[in-house]
Amino acid sequence: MLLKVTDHPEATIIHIKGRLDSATAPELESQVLSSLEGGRQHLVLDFSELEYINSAGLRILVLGYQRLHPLGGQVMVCGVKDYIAEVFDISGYNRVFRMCPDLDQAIRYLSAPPDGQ
Amino acid sequence: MTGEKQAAEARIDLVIDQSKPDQGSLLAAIDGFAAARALSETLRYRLGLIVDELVTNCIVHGACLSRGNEIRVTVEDRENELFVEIIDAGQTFDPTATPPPQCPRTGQVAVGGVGLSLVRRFAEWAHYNRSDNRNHLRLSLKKNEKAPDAA
Repeated sequence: MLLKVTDHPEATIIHIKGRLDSATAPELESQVLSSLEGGRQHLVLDFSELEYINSAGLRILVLGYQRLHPLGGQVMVCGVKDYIAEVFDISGYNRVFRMCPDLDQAIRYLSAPPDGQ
Repeated sequence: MTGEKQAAEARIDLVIDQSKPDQGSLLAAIDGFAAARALSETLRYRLGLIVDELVTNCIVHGACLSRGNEIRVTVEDRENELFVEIIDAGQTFDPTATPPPQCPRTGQVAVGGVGLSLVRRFAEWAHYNRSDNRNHLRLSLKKNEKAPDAA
């Protein structure tokens, strides 16, 4: 797994390439916790090059949600491949995280959230 | 164009134990099998995820490998389905007995149980029994890739 972190005024953007599984999830968890401690309001996960995710990977996203949601922040997931998207659908996590088709749309949302969110 | 016709059915048998506990290699072997069988990326993903979640469960909650026991995984590519069998000598555990958790729209979002929930939704059927002091789980994935119902 390769992680690339980009800062945005409102969010930390993490681009993840490869497999997010039990072996690699601790590295992402460490990065997410570090980002949250930095005080960013939102967390954006760019999954456009993600090839695999299991429940250990999903757990990190939920961890981010549990920290950010009470503070009005969001976890945004973008660029998910079709064969991976169904795990968000059938787990119901697609209703918890903001799912965006690509990173551009996620950034547009951050710049001008609808309804003044 | 000429080419060898692929066998109608094929299987792979794998074992991990304390001497070779590499779950990553096991999953890579299964993905290699799925690729060699020209399964779609959706089926490859579902198959890998199912084996990953179940073997992880055996290791983490069943304490299989720490007791010096082994986990046996068989995958058969059949005409209309993928058949998976996982046998382990860990603690008695029936993954088909627990109802899948429901994810709320907001508020307290559950973390536990998601892996087994995904397994049960991807599997067409699953049967569990305990015999010879081992957990035997058999399940099937349909090859038509119909999306499971959402939570």
